[in-house]
Amino acid sequence: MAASAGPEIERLIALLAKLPGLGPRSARRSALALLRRRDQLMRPLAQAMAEAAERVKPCGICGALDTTDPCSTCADPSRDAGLICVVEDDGARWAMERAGAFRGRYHVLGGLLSALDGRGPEALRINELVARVATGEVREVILALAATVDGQTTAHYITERLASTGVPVTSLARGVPVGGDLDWLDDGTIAQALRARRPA
Amino acid sequence: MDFEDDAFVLSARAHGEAGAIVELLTAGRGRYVAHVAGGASRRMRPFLQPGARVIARYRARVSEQLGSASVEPVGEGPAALFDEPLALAGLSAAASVAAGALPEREPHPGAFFAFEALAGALADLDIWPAVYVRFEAGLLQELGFGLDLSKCAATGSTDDLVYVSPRTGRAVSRAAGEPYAERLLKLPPFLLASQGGLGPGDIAAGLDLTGHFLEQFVFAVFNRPLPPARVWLIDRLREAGRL
Repeated sequence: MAASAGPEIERLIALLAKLPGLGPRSARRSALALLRRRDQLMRPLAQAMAEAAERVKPCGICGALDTTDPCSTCADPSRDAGLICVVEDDGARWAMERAGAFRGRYHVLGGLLSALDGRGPEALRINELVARVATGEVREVILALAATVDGQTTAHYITERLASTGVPVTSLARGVPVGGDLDWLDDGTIAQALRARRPA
Repeated sequence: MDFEDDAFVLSARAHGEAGAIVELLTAGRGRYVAHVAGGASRRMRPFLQPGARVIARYRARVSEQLGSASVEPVGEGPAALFDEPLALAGLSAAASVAAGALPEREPHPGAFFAFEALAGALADLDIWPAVYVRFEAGLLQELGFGLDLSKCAATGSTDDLVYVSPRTGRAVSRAAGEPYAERLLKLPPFLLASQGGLGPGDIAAGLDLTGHFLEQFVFAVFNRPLPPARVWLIDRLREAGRL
Protein backbone atom coordinates (compact mmCIF):
# COMPACT_ATOMS: atom_id res chain seq x y z
CA MET A 1 0.00 0.00 0.00
CA ALA A 2 1.23 3.52 -0.77
CA ALA A 3 1.91 4.64 2.79
CA SER A 4 2.77 8.24 1.98
CA ALA A 5 0.24 8.77 -0.79
CA GLY A 6 -2.32 10.51 1.35
CA PRO A 7 -5.68 9.37 2.69
CA GLU A 8 -7.60 10.31 -0.48
CA ILE A 9 -5.50 8.05 -2.68
CA GLU A 10 -5.52 5.27 -0.14
CA ARG A 11 -9.29 5.45 0.06
CA LEU A 12 -9.54 5.38 -3.74
CA ILE A 13 -7.27 2.31 -3.87
CA ALA A 14 -9.22 0.59 -1.10
CA LEU A 15 -12.54 1.17 -2.91
CA LEU A 16 -11.18 0.10 -6.29
CA ALA A 17 -9.82 -3.07 -4.69
CA LYS A 18 -13.38 -4.07 -3.81
CA LEU A 19 -14.38 -4.29 -7.48
CA PRO A 20 -14.58 -7.69 -9.19
CA GLY A 21 -11.32 -8.56 -10.92
CA LEU A 22 -9.25 -6.10 -8.92
CA GLY A 23 -7.01 -6.76 -5.95
CA PRO A 24 -4.82 -4.33 -4.01
CA ARG A 25 -2.04 -4.30 -6.63
CA SER A 26 -4.27 -3.85 -9.65
CA ALA A 27 -6.33 -1.28 -7.72
CA ARG A 28 -3.14 0.72 -7.15
CA ARG A 29 -2.32 0.56 -10.86
CA SER A 30 -5.88 1.60 -11.72
CA ALA A 31 -5.73 4.52 -9.27
CA LEU A 32 -2.46 5.69 -10.80
CA ALA A 33 -3.89 5.41 -14.31
CA LEU A 34 -6.90 7.46 -13.27
CA LEU A 35 -4.79 10.14 -11.60
CA ARG A 36 -2.54 10.45 -14.63
CA ARG A 37 -5.55 10.99 -16.91
CA ARG A 38 -7.82 13.06 -14.72
CA ASP A 39 -9.61 15.01 -17.44
CA GLN A 40 -9.81 12.23 -20.01
CA LEU A 41 -10.74 9.39 -17.67
CA MET A 42 -11.10 10.13 -13.97
CA ARG A 43 -13.61 13.01 -14.05
CA PRO A 44 -15.81 11.48 -16.81
CA LEU A 45 -15.76 8.17 -14.92
CA ALA A 46 -16.74 9.84 -11.66
CA GLN A 47 -19.53 11.70 -13.43
CA ALA A 48 -20.76 8.53 -15.16
CA MET A 49 -20.77 6.65 -11.86
CA ALA A 50 -22.65 9.45 -10.11
CA GLU A 51 -25.25 9.58 -12.88
CA ALA A 52 -25.65 5.80 -12.87
CA ALA A 53 -26.01 5.75 -9.08
CA GLU A 54 -28.62 8.48 -9.33
CA ARG A 55 -30.64 7.31 -12.31
CA VAL A 56 -30.41 3.52 -12.64
CA LYS A 57 -33.34 1.81 -10.94
CA PRO A 58 -35.13 -1.54 -11.21
CA CYS A 59 -37.91 -1.61 -13.80
CA GLY A 60 -41.33 -1.68 -12.17
CA ILE A 61 -42.49 -4.41 -14.57
CA CYS A 62 -39.58 -6.81 -15.06
CA GLY A 63 -37.10 -5.77 -12.37
CA ALA A 64 -34.24 -5.14 -14.83
CA LEU A 65 -31.85 -2.28 -14.12
CA ASP A 66 -32.38 0.69 -16.41
CA THR A 67 -32.52 4.47 -16.33
CA THR A 68 -36.17 4.49 -17.39
CA ASP A 69 -39.21 2.88 -15.83
CA PRO A 70 -40.55 0.87 -17.63
CA CYS A 71 -37.16 -0.25 -18.91
CA SER A 72 -36.19 0.04 -22.56
CA THR A 73 -37.03 -3.64 -23.18
CA CYS A 74 -40.49 -3.46 -21.61
CA ALA A 75 -41.20 -0.19 -23.44
CA ASP A 76 -40.02 -1.50 -26.83
CA PRO A 77 -43.15 -2.24 -28.92
CA SER A 78 -41.15 -4.47 -31.26
CA ARG A 79 -40.49 -6.98 -28.45
CA ASP A 80 -42.99 -9.82 -28.18
CA ALA A 81 -44.97 -9.23 -24.98
CA GLY A 82 -46.33 -12.79 -25.18
CA LEU A 83 -42.93 -14.32 -24.38
CA ILE A 84 -41.34 -13.85 -20.97
CA CYS A 85 -37.84 -15.09 -20.27
CA VAL A 86 -37.21 -15.56 -16.54
CA VAL A 87 -33.60 -14.91 -15.50
CA GLU A 88 -31.75 -14.87 -12.20
CA ASP A 89 -30.21 -11.40 -12.46
CA ASP A 90 -29.17 -8.68 -14.88
CA GLY A 91 -25.97 -10.53 -15.72
CA ALA A 92 -28.05 -13.40 -17.11
CA ARG A 93 -30.33 -10.95 -18.94
CA TRP A 94 -27.35 -9.28 -20.59
CA ALA A 95 -26.02 -12.70 -21.61
CA MET A 96 -29.36 -13.51 -23.28
CA GLU A 97 -29.35 -10.13 -25.03
CA ARG A 98 -25.78 -10.67 -26.25
CA ALA A 99 -26.92 -13.85 -27.96
CA GLY A 100 -29.53 -11.83 -29.87
CA ALA A 101 -31.73 -14.91 -30.19
CA PHE A 102 -34.61 -13.78 -28.00
CA ARG A 103 -37.05 -11.03 -28.95
CA GLY A 104 -39.49 -11.30 -26.08
CA ARG A 105 -39.42 -9.64 -22.66
CA TYR A 106 -37.73 -10.52 -19.41
CA HIS A 107 -38.48 -11.06 -15.77
CA VAL A 108 -35.54 -10.68 -13.39
CA LEU A 109 -36.00 -12.73 -10.20
CA GLY A 110 -33.22 -11.10 -8.21
CA GLY A 111 -31.63 -14.40 -7.16
CA LEU A 112 -32.45 -18.08 -6.79
CA LEU A 113 -34.24 -20.08 -4.14
CA SER A 114 -31.66 -21.60 -1.86
CA ALA A 115 -32.70 -24.10 0.75
CA LEU A 116 -29.12 -24.19 2.03
CA ASP A 117 -28.96 -20.41 2.49
CA GLY A 118 -32.53 -20.15 3.70
CA ARG A 119 -33.60 -17.89 0.80
CA GLY A 120 -37.27 -18.48 0.18
CA PRO A 121 -39.78 -17.38 -2.51
CA GLU A 122 -40.65 -14.18 -0.63
CA ALA A 123 -37.10 -12.93 -1.24
CA LEU A 124 -37.54 -13.17 -5.03
CA ARG A 125 -39.84 -11.48 -7.52
CA ILE A 126 -41.95 -14.59 -8.07
CA ASN A 127 -45.29 -13.09 -7.01
CA GLU A 128 -44.73 -10.30 -9.53
CA LEU A 129 -44.10 -12.91 -12.24
CA VAL A 130 -47.31 -14.77 -11.40
CA ALA A 131 -49.23 -11.49 -11.52
CA ARG A 132 -47.69 -10.63 -14.91
CA VAL A 133 -48.58 -14.00 -16.37
CA ALA A 134 -52.11 -13.86 -14.95
CA THR A 135 -52.92 -10.79 -17.07
CA GLY A 136 -53.57 -13.12 -20.01
CA GLU A 137 -51.17 -11.44 -22.42
CA VAL A 138 -48.42 -14.04 -22.00
CA ARG A 139 -48.27 -17.10 -24.31
CA GLU A 140 -45.13 -18.77 -22.94
CA VAL A 141 -42.74 -18.43 -20.03
CA ILE A 142 -39.15 -19.50 -20.70
CA LEU A 143 -37.06 -20.34 -17.65
CA ALA A 144 -33.41 -19.43 -18.32
CA LEU A 145 -32.03 -20.39 -14.94
CA ALA A 146 -28.75 -21.93 -13.88
CA ALA A 147 -28.29 -25.69 -14.28
CA THR A 148 -27.54 -26.02 -10.58
CA VAL A 149 -29.44 -27.48 -7.64
CA ASP A 150 -30.67 -24.00 -6.68
CA GLY A 151 -31.46 -23.03 -10.27
CA GLN A 152 -33.51 -26.13 -10.94
CA THR A 153 -35.26 -25.94 -7.56
CA THR A 154 -36.31 -22.41 -8.49
CA ALA A 155 -37.45 -23.60 -11.93
CA HIS A 156 -39.64 -26.33 -10.42
CA TYR A 157 -41.13 -23.92 -7.92
CA ILE A 158 -42.00 -21.36 -10.61
CA THR A 159 -43.49 -24.09 -12.80
CA GLU A 160 -45.73 -25.15 -9.90
CA ARG A 161 -46.77 -21.57 -9.19
CA LEU A 162 -47.64 -20.95 -12.83
CA ALA A 163 -49.48 -24.23 -13.35
CA SER A 164 -52.84 -22.70 -12.47
CA THR A 165 -52.50 -20.02 -15.18
CA GLY A 166 -52.39 -22.63 -17.96
CA VAL A 167 -49.54 -20.80 -19.69
CA PRO A 168 -46.87 -23.17 -21.09
CA VAL A 169 -43.61 -23.04 -19.15
CA THR A 170 -40.42 -24.16 -20.92
CA SER A 171 -36.80 -24.15 -19.90
CA LEU A 172 -33.52 -23.87 -21.74
CA ALA A 173 -32.00 -27.12 -23.01
CA ARG A 174 -29.07 -28.64 -21.14
CA GLY A 175 -26.23 -30.38 -22.91
CA VAL A 176 -23.17 -30.03 -25.11
CA PRO A 177 -22.18 -26.36 -25.62
CA VAL A 178 -21.36 -25.05 -29.08
CA GLY A 179 -17.69 -25.79 -29.69
CA GLY A 180 -17.69 -28.19 -26.76
CA ASP A 181 -15.42 -31.21 -26.93
CA LEU A 182 -17.00 -34.28 -25.33
CA ASP A 183 -13.67 -35.24 -23.84
CA TRP A 184 -13.72 -32.11 -21.68
CA LEU A 185 -17.32 -32.28 -20.52
CA ASP A 186 -18.28 -33.47 -17.06
CA ASP A 187 -20.32 -36.68 -16.66
CA GLY A 188 -23.47 -34.80 -15.66
CA THR A 189 -23.52 -32.66 -18.80
CA ILE A 190 -22.92 -35.63 -21.08
CA ALA A 191 -25.71 -37.62 -19.39
CA GLN A 192 -28.09 -34.67 -19.67
CA ALA A 193 -27.21 -34.22 -23.34
CA LEU A 194 -27.79 -37.90 -24.02
CA ARG A 195 -31.21 -37.79 -22.37
CA ALA A 196 -32.14 -34.68 -24.37
CA ARG A 197 -31.02 -36.15 -27.74
CA ARG A 198 -33.20 -35.52 -30.78
CA PRO A 199 -33.53 -36.90 -34.30
CA ALA A 200 -30.55 -35.84 -36.42
CA MET B 1 -1.31 -32.84 6.28
CA ASP B 2 -2.33 -34.58 3.06
CA PHE B 3 -4.99 -37.11 2.26
CA GLU B 4 -7.14 -38.38 -0.57
CA ASP B 5 -10.65 -39.63 0.09
CA ASP B 6 -14.07 -40.20 -1.41
CA ALA B 7 -16.41 -37.38 -0.48
CA PHE B 8 -19.75 -35.72 -1.03
CA VAL B 9 -19.98 -31.97 -1.50
CA LEU B 10 -22.22 -30.50 1.20
CA SER B 11 -21.95 -26.87 0.17
CA ALA B 12 -19.81 -24.56 -1.94
CA ARG B 13 -19.56 -20.79 -1.70
CA ALA B 14 -17.67 -18.50 -4.02
CA HIS B 15 -14.52 -17.10 -2.48
CA GLY B 16 -12.76 -14.27 -4.25
CA GLU B 17 -12.84 -14.14 -8.02
CA ALA B 18 -12.43 -17.77 -8.95
CA GLY B 19 -12.13 -19.84 -5.79
CA ALA B 20 -14.67 -21.54 -3.59
CA ILE B 21 -14.92 -22.62 0.02
CA VAL B 22 -16.22 -26.16 -0.17
CA GLU B 23 -17.62 -28.25 2.62
CA LEU B 24 -17.01 -31.97 2.12
CA LEU B 25 -18.29 -35.10 3.84
CA THR B 26 -15.38 -37.48 3.41
CA ALA B 27 -15.65 -41.24 3.81
CA GLY B 28 -12.91 -41.72 6.36
CA ARG B 29 -12.26 -38.32 7.94
CA GLY B 30 -15.66 -36.74 8.38
CA ARG B 31 -16.60 -33.19 7.50
CA TYR B 32 -13.82 -31.06 6.07
CA VAL B 33 -13.84 -27.49 4.78
CA ALA B 34 -11.31 -26.55 2.14
CA HIS B 35 -10.47 -23.85 -0.34
CA VAL B 36 -10.77 -25.06 -3.91
CA ALA B 37 -8.81 -22.92 -6.33
CA GLY B 38 -10.85 -22.36 -9.48
CA GLY B 39 -13.96 -23.65 -7.70
CA ALA B 40 -16.11 -20.89 -9.19
CA SER B 41 -14.87 -21.57 -12.71
CA ARG B 42 -17.07 -22.79 -15.51
CA ARG B 43 -15.23 -26.12 -15.50
CA MET B 44 -15.64 -26.87 -11.82
CA ARG B 45 -18.98 -25.30 -10.89
CA PRO B 46 -21.07 -28.14 -12.39
CA PHE B 47 -19.77 -30.64 -9.86
CA LEU B 48 -19.39 -28.37 -6.85
CA GLN B 49 -23.08 -28.76 -6.10
CA PRO B 50 -24.59 -30.07 -2.87
CA GLY B 51 -24.72 -33.86 -3.09
CA ALA B 52 -22.07 -34.25 -5.80
CA ARG B 53 -19.75 -37.23 -5.35
CA VAL B 54 -16.05 -36.40 -5.74
CA ILE B 55 -12.59 -37.67 -5.02
CA ALA B 56 -10.97 -35.01 -2.85
CA ARG B 57 -7.26 -34.42 -2.41
CA TYR B 58 -6.75 -32.28 0.68
CA ARG B 59 -3.56 -30.50 1.61
CA ALA B 60 -2.65 -28.17 4.49
CA ARG B 61 0.71 -27.16 5.92
CA VAL B 62 -0.53 -27.38 9.50
CA SER B 63 -3.64 -29.09 10.80
CA GLU B 64 -5.15 -25.87 12.24
CA GLN B 65 -5.01 -24.21 8.83
CA LEU B 66 -7.83 -24.06 6.31
CA GLY B 67 -6.41 -26.41 3.73
CA SER B 68 -6.81 -26.45 0.00
CA ALA B 69 -8.35 -29.26 -1.96
CA SER B 70 -8.57 -30.39 -5.52
CA VAL B 71 -11.67 -32.33 -6.43
CA GLU B 72 -12.45 -34.72 -9.22
CA PRO B 73 -16.08 -35.59 -10.02
CA VAL B 74 -17.37 -39.13 -9.81
CA GLY B 75 -20.49 -39.95 -11.80
CA GLU B 76 -23.31 -37.70 -12.91
CA GLY B 77 -24.05 -36.17 -9.52
CA PRO B 78 -27.06 -33.95 -8.78
CA ALA B 79 -27.60 -33.25 -12.49
CA ALA B 80 -29.34 -36.63 -12.67
CA LEU B 81 -32.03 -35.25 -10.35
CA PHE B 82 -32.63 -31.92 -12.06
CA ASP B 83 -36.03 -33.07 -13.31
CA GLU B 84 -37.10 -34.32 -9.86
CA PRO B 85 -38.10 -31.39 -7.63
CA LEU B 86 -38.68 -33.49 -4.51
CA ALA B 87 -35.38 -35.31 -4.89
CA LEU B 88 -33.56 -31.98 -5.19
CA ALA B 89 -35.25 -30.85 -1.99
CA GLY B 90 -34.21 -34.13 -0.32
CA LEU B 91 -30.63 -33.74 -1.45
CA SER B 92 -30.42 -30.14 -0.21
CA ALA B 93 -31.97 -31.10 3.11
CA ALA B 94 -29.59 -34.03 3.63
CA ALA B 95 -26.57 -31.87 2.76
CA SER B 96 -27.57 -29.05 5.09
CA VAL B 97 -28.49 -31.38 7.97
CA ALA B 98 -25.16 -33.20 7.62
CA ALA B 99 -23.28 -29.88 7.35
CA GLY B 100 -25.00 -28.49 10.43
CA ALA B 101 -24.92 -31.60 12.57
CA LEU B 102 -21.51 -33.17 12.00
CA PRO B 103 -18.52 -31.72 13.82
CA GLU B 104 -15.57 -30.78 11.65
CA ARG B 105 -12.64 -33.17 11.19
CA GLU B 106 -14.15 -36.01 13.20
CA PRO B 107 -14.41 -39.35 11.38
CA HIS B 108 -18.01 -40.47 10.87
CA PRO B 109 -17.92 -43.15 8.20
CA GLY B 110 -21.50 -44.14 9.04
CA ALA B 111 -22.71 -40.67 8.07
CA PHE B 112 -20.90 -40.93 4.74
CA PHE B 113 -22.41 -44.32 3.95
CA ALA B 114 -25.87 -43.16 5.03
CA PHE B 115 -25.51 -40.18 2.67
CA GLU B 116 -24.32 -42.52 -0.07
CA ALA B 117 -27.34 -44.78 0.42
CA LEU B 118 -29.68 -41.79 0.26
CA ALA B 119 -28.00 -40.35 -2.83
CA GLY B 120 -28.37 -43.72 -4.53
CA ALA B 121 -32.07 -43.94 -3.66
CA LEU B 122 -33.13 -40.42 -4.65
CA ALA B 123 -34.18 -41.44 -8.14
CA ASP B 124 -37.03 -43.54 -6.71
CA LEU B 125 -39.66 -41.34 -5.09
CA ASP B 126 -41.49 -44.32 -3.59
CA ILE B 127 -38.59 -45.27 -1.36
CA TRP B 128 -36.27 -42.31 -0.80
CA PRO B 129 -38.35 -40.44 1.83
CA ALA B 130 -38.04 -43.51 4.07
CA VAL B 131 -34.31 -43.71 3.27
CA TYR B 132 -34.04 -40.04 4.19
CA VAL B 133 -35.56 -40.73 7.63
CA ARG B 134 -33.11 -43.62 8.05
CA PHE B 135 -30.29 -41.28 7.02
CA GLU B 136 -31.21 -38.87 9.81
CA ALA B 137 -31.57 -41.75 12.28
CA GLY B 138 -28.12 -42.94 11.19
CA LEU B 139 -26.73 -39.45 11.67
CA LEU B 140 -28.09 -39.39 15.23
CA GLN B 141 -26.51 -42.80 15.82
CA GLU B 142 -23.14 -41.53 14.57
CA LEU B 143 -23.35 -38.52 16.85
CA GLY B 144 -24.07 -40.66 19.90
CA PHE B 145 -27.79 -39.93 20.14
CA GLY B 146 -28.99 -43.11 18.46
CA LEU B 147 -32.53 -44.32 18.96
CA ASP B 148 -32.80 -47.55 20.95
CA LEU B 149 -35.56 -49.41 19.20
CA SER B 150 -34.59 -52.90 20.30
CA LYS B 151 -37.12 -53.29 23.12
CA CYS B 152 -39.69 -51.45 25.20
CA ALA B 153 -38.05 -49.12 27.73
CA ALA B 154 -40.81 -49.87 30.28
CA THR B 155 -41.52 -53.60 29.92
CA GLY B 156 -38.57 -55.00 27.99
CA SER B 157 -40.98 -56.43 25.44
CA THR B 158 -39.84 -56.59 21.82
CA ASP B 159 -43.38 -56.80 20.42
CA ASP B 160 -45.72 -54.06 19.25
CA LEU B 161 -43.26 -51.19 19.62
CA VAL B 162 -45.16 -48.13 18.40
CA TYR B 163 -43.84 -45.19 20.42
CA VAL B 164 -40.52 -43.53 21.26
CA SER B 165 -39.81 -41.59 24.42
CA PRO B 166 -39.01 -37.98 23.44
CA ARG B 167 -36.63 -37.75 26.38
CA THR B 168 -34.56 -40.93 26.06
CA GLY B 169 -35.04 -42.03 22.43
CA ARG B 170 -36.01 -45.52 23.60
CA ALA B 171 -38.90 -47.48 22.12
CA VAL B 172 -42.12 -47.97 24.07
CA SER B 173 -44.69 -50.71 23.42
CA ARG B 174 -48.32 -49.93 22.67
CA ALA B 175 -49.53 -51.35 25.98
CA ALA B 176 -47.00 -49.46 28.09
CA GLY B 177 -47.27 -46.22 26.15
CA GLU B 178 -51.04 -45.96 25.72
CA PRO B 179 -51.62 -43.81 28.86
CA TYR B 180 -48.94 -41.34 27.69
CA ALA B 181 -49.64 -41.54 23.97
CA GLU B 182 -50.03 -37.79 23.53
CA ARG B 183 -46.59 -37.13 24.99
CA LEU B 184 -44.77 -39.89 23.11
CA LEU B 185 -43.45 -39.78 19.57
CA LYS B 186 -44.87 -42.23 17.03
CA LEU B 187 -42.51 -44.93 15.84
CA PRO B 188 -43.13 -45.79 12.16
CA PRO B 189 -42.75 -49.56 11.50
CA PHE B 190 -40.24 -49.05 8.67
CA LEU B 191 -37.63 -47.95 11.21
CA LEU B 192 -37.90 -51.33 12.93
CA ALA B 193 -37.65 -53.52 9.85
CA SER B 194 -36.66 -52.49 6.35
CA GLN B 195 -39.02 -55.13 4.93
CA GLY B 196 -42.07 -53.45 6.43
CA GLY B 197 -44.14 -51.46 3.98
CA LEU B 198 -44.92 -47.79 4.30
CA GLY B 199 -48.27 -46.83 5.71
CA PRO B 200 -50.07 -43.48 5.61
CA GLY B 201 -48.37 -40.98 7.87
CA ASP B 202 -45.25 -43.10 8.40
CA ILE B 203 -42.88 -40.66 6.69
CA ALA B 204 -44.32 -37.71 8.62
CA ALA B 205 -43.96 -39.68 11.87
CA GLY B 206 -40.38 -40.58 10.98
CA LEU B 207 -39.47 -36.97 10.18
CA ASP B 208 -41.11 -35.81 13.43
CA LEU B 209 -39.11 -38.41 15.32
CA THR B 210 -35.68 -37.66 13.88
CA GLY B 211 -36.42 -33.95 13.75
CA HIS B 212 -37.19 -33.90 17.47
CA PHE B 213 -33.88 -35.49 18.43
CA LEU B 214 -31.84 -33.55 15.90
CA GLU B 215 -33.35 -30.33 17.18
CA GLN B 216 -33.07 -31.16 20.87
CA PHE B 217 -29.71 -32.90 21.03
CA VAL B 218 -27.75 -31.61 18.04
CA PHE B 219 -28.86 -28.20 16.77
CA ALA B 220 -30.05 -26.75 20.09
CA VAL B 221 -26.54 -27.27 21.46
CA PHE B 222 -25.34 -24.69 18.92
CA ASN B 223 -28.40 -22.53 19.56
CA ARG B 224 -29.51 -23.10 15.97
CA PRO B 225 -32.86 -24.18 14.54
CA LEU B 226 -33.16 -27.12 12.18
CA PRO B 227 -31.88 -26.09 8.72
CA PRO B 228 -34.36 -24.23 6.48
CA ALA B 229 -33.67 -26.83 3.77
CA ARG B 230 -35.24 -29.51 6.00
CA VAL B 231 -38.31 -27.35 6.61
CA TRP B 232 -38.53 -26.74 2.86
CA LEU B 233 -38.34 -30.51 2.21
CA ILE B 234 -41.18 -31.26 4.62
CA ASP B 235 -43.31 -28.52 3.02
CA ARG B 236 -42.64 -29.92 -0.47
CA LEU B 237 -43.42 -33.50 0.61
CA ARG B 238 -46.64 -32.34 2.25
CA GLU B 239 -47.70 -30.39 -0.85
CA ALA B 240 -46.99 -33.45 -2.99
CA GLY B 241 -49.14 -35.63 -0.70
CA ARG B 242 -46.17 -37.75 0.35
CA LEU B 243 -46.53 -37.29 4.10
